[in-house]
Amino acid sequence: MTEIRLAQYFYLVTSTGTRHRYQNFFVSEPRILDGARFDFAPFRAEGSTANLNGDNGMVRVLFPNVEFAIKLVEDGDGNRLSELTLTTQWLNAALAPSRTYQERYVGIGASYSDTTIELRYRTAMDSVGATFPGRTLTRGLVGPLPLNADLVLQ
Amino acid sequence: MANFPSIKPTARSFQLGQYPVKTYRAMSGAVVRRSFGNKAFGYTLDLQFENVPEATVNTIIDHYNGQQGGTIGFAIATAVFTGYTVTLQGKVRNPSGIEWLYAEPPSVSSVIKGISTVTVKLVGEMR
Repeated sequence: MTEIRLAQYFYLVTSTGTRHRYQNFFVSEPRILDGARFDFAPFRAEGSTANLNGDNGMVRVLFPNVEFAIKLVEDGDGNRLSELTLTTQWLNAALAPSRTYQERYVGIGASYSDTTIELRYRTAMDSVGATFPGRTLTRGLVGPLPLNADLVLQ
Repeated sequence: MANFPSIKPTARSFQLGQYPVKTYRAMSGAVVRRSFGNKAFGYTLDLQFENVPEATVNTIIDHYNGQQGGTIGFAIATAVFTGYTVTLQGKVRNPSGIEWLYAEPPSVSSVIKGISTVTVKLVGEMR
């Protein structure tokens, strides 16, 4: 039988510079990671928490709709352009870390429901778009500048 | 948070909590178990207070209403665990990081005038 024990560490720097640190495995036990204290919070990360392809993957982090989680959104302009470092830690049977993987994301928004706050992120590497680096429109591509909003790529 | 009333039950049943583990089974039948946390949850404690006077019934009902039913957690008085050693009480009465809640409304059945039997079902959940 295979056993998996995963602890996730959520480190968010909002666009206004406020820092939030939470982990979701050790209930009511603050943990230290890279010299910083992570309090327990019952959150869940959904989506691709590790990606080697840089294909602008999306991750959703779900928190209960309680006061501290509302701050995650309100402190950072609706979770826009916040920076998330999500660390996944594999634990051994003694609950000591055996392997760690870290991924970074950029906030793209949030939504509320009665019970849940959903924070949405995309991978920081190429958050400007899936075709990073973005294409540049030149006169050679566009042709004569149009008089209306219709661009025709040639 | 008001403690559960200090009343000795006539019957008591306790079940340990379970750990947050999810099991995935491959088509081969092999099993992978993923652990989501390091604490147990969902302890249950069933108490019965047989042939108690109306005052005791009122005390339990008042406590139930004071905790807004299963909304506000509480601790349990040692009298409820009469008969257990201190060591066992520590594991049963105050499991680490657990608070008790009403799992369902207490039920009261009348025996004779002024005497009733009350059944209380509690659940221990993470704070």
